[in-house]
Order: sequence, then C-alpha cells, then structure tokens
Amino acid sequence: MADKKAILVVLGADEVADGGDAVKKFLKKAATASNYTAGDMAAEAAKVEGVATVDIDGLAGAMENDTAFACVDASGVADAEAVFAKVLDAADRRTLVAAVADKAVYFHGLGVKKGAQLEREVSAKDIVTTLCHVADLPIPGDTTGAIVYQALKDANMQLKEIRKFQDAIQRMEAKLAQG
Amino acid sequence: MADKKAILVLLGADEVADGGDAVKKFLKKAATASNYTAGDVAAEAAKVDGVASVDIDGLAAVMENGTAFACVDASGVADAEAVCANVLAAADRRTLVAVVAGKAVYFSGLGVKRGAKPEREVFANDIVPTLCYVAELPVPDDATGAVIFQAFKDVNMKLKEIGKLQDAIKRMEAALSRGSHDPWDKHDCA
Repeated sequence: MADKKAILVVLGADEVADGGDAVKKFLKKAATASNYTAGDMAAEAAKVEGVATVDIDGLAGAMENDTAFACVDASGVADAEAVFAKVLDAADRRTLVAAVADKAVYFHGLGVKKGAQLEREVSAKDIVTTLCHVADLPIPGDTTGAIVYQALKDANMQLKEIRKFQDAIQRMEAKLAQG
Repeated sequence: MADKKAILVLLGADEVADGGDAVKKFLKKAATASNYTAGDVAAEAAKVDGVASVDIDGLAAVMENGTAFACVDASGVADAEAVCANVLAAADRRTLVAVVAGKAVYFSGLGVKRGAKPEREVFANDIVPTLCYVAELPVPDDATGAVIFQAFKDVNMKLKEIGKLQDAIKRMEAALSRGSHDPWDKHDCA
C-alpha cells in the first residue's frame, strides 16, 4: 500500500494566475518557484519506476487505486480551474503535488512550506528529484536534478524521519531487553 | 555518538595523479568525477551545522573525537601522499570522504561505487548536499546543489534504509505486543 504519494501536473500556460476557488485554494497553500527553466517534464517523470501516466479526468481514480506517483499532461486543457479542482480532489494529506507551468512551478501538500516564494533557479530535472525525495519514490539512476529544499518546511525532513525511526528502535530494543 | 561521518578535503592541485601507496589506495577505491567546475566549497561547508574545520594533521584526532563532519583545507599542502595517508587513517568504514581538487572530485568510503567515473557535470555547490545526504548531516537551508547519485552504489540507499527501519519497527512492535501478554495468555490451558 502506498504511503506517501506524488502528483505531477504539466500545464500549458506560462503561469497560474488568479482563477476560481480551486485555483485560489491551491495557490494559497503552494510554494511558488518563478525562476523556472522549462524542460521535458514528461520524459523525466517517465523514468520513475511505477509512474502512472493518466489524463486529468482519470487522476482521482488512479490515486484512489494506490498509485504512488501519477503524471498528468494537462497542457491541452485550457481551463485551469477544472484542472486544479481535480488535483485537489485527488490529493490526500500525504500527497505532494507539483504543478509545472512554462515559467513557474508550484509545489503543494506533503512537506511544502505554504506561501513560500522561491528566488533560486529551478530546472525541469529538479522537479522529479524533489518529488522522489519527498514522497519516498525510487530515484531514476541518471538523475542529475537537485532537491528544491527551499520549497519544503524543513530541509532535513528525511534526516529527522530516519532519526525518529532510529530512536524508536532503540527504545523498543531497550524494552525488549528488559523482557 | 556520531554514526555516519563525512570528511571534506580541499586540495590545491588540479587533480590527484598517481603518487605513493596512500594515493594509489585512495584512488583505487574512489569514484572520480572529472567534469568538475570549481567554486567555493569551503564557504558552503561552513554552513553545515556542527562542521569542524581542521588542518590535515589534526584530522584523525577530530574524527576520533566523534566529529560528524570535518572540513580540511589542504590547498597549501603540496604533498598529496601525506594528505591521502592522513585521510585514510582518519576515515572509518562509515565515513564518506570527498577530496575536491581544482578540476576533479573524488568520493571514497560510505556507499561509494568503487572505480565509478561519472561523466555528468559536477559543480562546487553539489559537494556539500551530497555529503549531507549520504552521511545524514543537516543540509544548509540555502543548498541548491544536486546529490551526485552516480558516485554511489545505490541511488535509492535512503529509501531502502527508511524501508529497513520501518520493517524493524514493525517486527519489534509485534514482538513487544506478544511479550506484553500475561503468561496465561500465551498458553492455551483449556
């Protein structure tokens, strides 16, 4: 059963401007990187083991079905409001969403620092690396992208998780040793 | 007590060429990235929480003392053989070493794929995030570099480690819940 999940949405527009309620709700909680250099997102995502390529209407069904990573090409869908309504519907509390426009990237959900505005450069190859890192997905072997730590609440999220597990194991070992 | 550790060594030379026994031993086990663009690695290393800046002669003692991350500026030391000998003496099995020359970077130790020659571009700002990621050090907040996964045996080492820890917790939880039963729960006395 999938635990953490990720959704990658490729948009056709240059950026996501104000829109209806779904767009507003999404943007309010998102970390935005506006210094973005576009690239072949779909090709990068296709290298991730177990990725499900779906269209926007099939997204909720795929996530419901325990897909750990879904890639949605919504570049042909003009209505951003409809896209974001479906994305918000498909994402649960443990889902990281990256919505990639031509000139900006929006991260939303799992581990994301709400409202962060990133000044650093972000390239297309950084997106998949970041999704894999945060959502515990297998990283493609030829990955050269960087983790976009600045979009996250805590750059050391994974480190803290490892420490937490190690502490729990130590406590339990002590308890087991006591009998 | 520190578990995994990292050592960063900055060299003055363009690369580490063949040398004495210590250099040979180091290079034999190292992953070498020759497509390297130099930069101020020391400045980024200084941002890592708990870093110890030492000279090459003080390295072994500092690592012995439980330092998790040591940064050595050996750019003024001409003798690569002495540097490599000191590094090899200071590093244990759980230590990742990055030796950064002017035109190449060498990774050795913890998790490294011996003899790998990654062709990918490596930049100065990739070194510290790579050390932090692999040796489980806190990454600086403004890190923008990439982890050089190609220098390591397993690109998914962290994922597997997390999975292993989760499995161990599950097994121990099961063992604890068995052990918490009163003796008469364990035996079917009927």
